Amino acid sequence: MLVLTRKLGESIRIGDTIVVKIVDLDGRNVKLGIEAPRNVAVNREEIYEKIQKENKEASESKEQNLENIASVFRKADSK
Amino acid sequence: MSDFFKDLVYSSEDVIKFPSGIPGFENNKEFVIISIPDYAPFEWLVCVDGSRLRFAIINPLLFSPDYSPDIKKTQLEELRIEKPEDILLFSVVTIRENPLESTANLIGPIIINKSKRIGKQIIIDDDQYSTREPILRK
Repeated sequence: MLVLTRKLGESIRIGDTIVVKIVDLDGRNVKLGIEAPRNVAVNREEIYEKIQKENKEASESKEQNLENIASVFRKADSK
Repeated sequence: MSDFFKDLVYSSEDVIKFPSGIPGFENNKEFVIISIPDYAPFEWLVCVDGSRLRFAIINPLLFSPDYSPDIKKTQLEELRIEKPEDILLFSVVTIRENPLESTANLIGPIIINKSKRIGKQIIIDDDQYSTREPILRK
């Protein structure tokens, strides 16, 4: 991993199109400003990881069990 | 229990392309939606590359009518949506051992442009939603 030291207001550039700027420092928090092309998704890493993890779990779901929940759902809905 | 994923019949017009895949499954890019009455209102998003990957999906508005994820225009560019009627909204369902505890992922809605057959899982950066929203309210 490349590690760089930056001061408040300084930036790093990734490739030709992505700029990450240190916008604010406050105790243990760093506020970053990110300039990236519109087609590049910028997300907090932990959220991306959560989605990956949930997709993995969802893909291992057993289809037999869906019939159960579907019929309960339809009954609740028709009330 | 018949394995309906094994001998899936679909036409090439039914295929929905996910250019970026789905987080965790970035290499699986072609899916079809399979609706089977026994599972309604749930449907299946089935990968057609032979991987046997499939997800149960549901329209989140059916159990969470107030759901209004804040999706940025730039997140939809890849889908080339021209009119709102083209948009299909789904949540991925995780079926639990106790089916009544099954949950849907409201942070990662799947948006599909049904006329251009392009799909994408959008990531909502909003802490009011979770990846494990109960589907059946008590």
